[in-house]
Amino acid sequence: MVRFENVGLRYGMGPEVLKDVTFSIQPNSFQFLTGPSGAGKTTLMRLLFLQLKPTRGLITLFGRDVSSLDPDEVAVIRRRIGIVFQDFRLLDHLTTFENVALPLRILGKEESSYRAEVSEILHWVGLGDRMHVLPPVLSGGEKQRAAIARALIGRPEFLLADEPTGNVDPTLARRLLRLFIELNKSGTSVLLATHDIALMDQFDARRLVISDGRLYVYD
Amino acid sequence: MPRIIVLRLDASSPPDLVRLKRVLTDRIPTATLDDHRAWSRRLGAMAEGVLVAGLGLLALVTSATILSVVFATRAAVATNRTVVEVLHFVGARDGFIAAQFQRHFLKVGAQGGAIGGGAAALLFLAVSFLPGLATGMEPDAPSVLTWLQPGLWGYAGILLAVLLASGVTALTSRITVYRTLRMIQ
Repeated sequence: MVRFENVGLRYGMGPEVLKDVTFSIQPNSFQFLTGPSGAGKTTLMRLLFLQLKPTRGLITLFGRDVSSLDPDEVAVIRRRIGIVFQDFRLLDHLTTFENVALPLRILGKEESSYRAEVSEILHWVGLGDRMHVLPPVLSGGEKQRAAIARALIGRPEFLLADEPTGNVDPTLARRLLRLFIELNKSGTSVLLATHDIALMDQFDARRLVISDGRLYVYD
Repeated sequence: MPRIIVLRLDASSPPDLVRLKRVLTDRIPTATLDDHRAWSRRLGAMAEGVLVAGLGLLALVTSATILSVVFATRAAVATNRTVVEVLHFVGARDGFIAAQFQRHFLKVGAQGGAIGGGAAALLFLAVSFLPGLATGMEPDAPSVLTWLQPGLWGYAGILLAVLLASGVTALTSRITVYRTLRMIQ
């Protein structure tokens, strides 16, 4: 599904922030991505989400070499990936329902065709009663769950979550982790970036540890 | 005492005024002949100057309007950068995002243009009903405010300005969205 071979990345003429990164992610797998702040987690996530291109090495996503993709092909691949941003990136002028429905709206679907589906996923993440509320009114945890619901509504094959428990209390963090595990059981590969050791200890999964720009894989 | 002598000129065979002037100055050295042509030439040149200055001012105002519309639109799109980013990250094609913004800003531009253009048209219409302008249509007795009656072409010009503002707004939003997308990628 995802393959990195000797990937290196530097910003401009600066030093390499990622060095010889080699790993792969299999379908229906679950892994944590961890490491100290500034080690390169977010950069690796941005590479996985096609927001950056490597300065060297090969990245293959769903069997396609990312360096050969044109902008339209990137958009099509992104629809197969769900992403949960650390800062949620919800649109404040849209309700929770509209935010979650956004990936379906951009496909040109009519609201009547996805109303039940969006409602169902919002109930699944515990936001059934906050459907018609604007994001500024939501708490941090609710925003996080809305962002997760938006990432999942398109039934992605691969889910990237950047510090999804960074803004919530331990109880909610456990609930969110269970939600990701359930999602993985339903067939989605999950990569969860976190530096919360306690959270990782709650679920036995593969760990990708990034340190000083190098990646170490613990299966 | 000067005497007024009325001469009726034959329009079919106009007099040779140059020769008349020469004869007059030959016989009476202090005499002058003023046939108003020099005065009317100066007046005509001044009117042309005013016309050119007016056109120049119109061009400046049009340029300033276009620039203000362009920069206001760019600023408005910049404040919506998060929207562009989110749409981009959830898998929207660049063309889709640009089209959405273009449609929205075309509507905003048309609304703004309609408000401004409508206000201008109403103002001209109201002024044309002022009593002082009743004689404005008479060529022999023009009013000071005659120019405030734009006529059909004037109203067409207002409509054109509205269309131009809407078009510039939509096009600027499209270009700005593409530029933003290039920065995100």
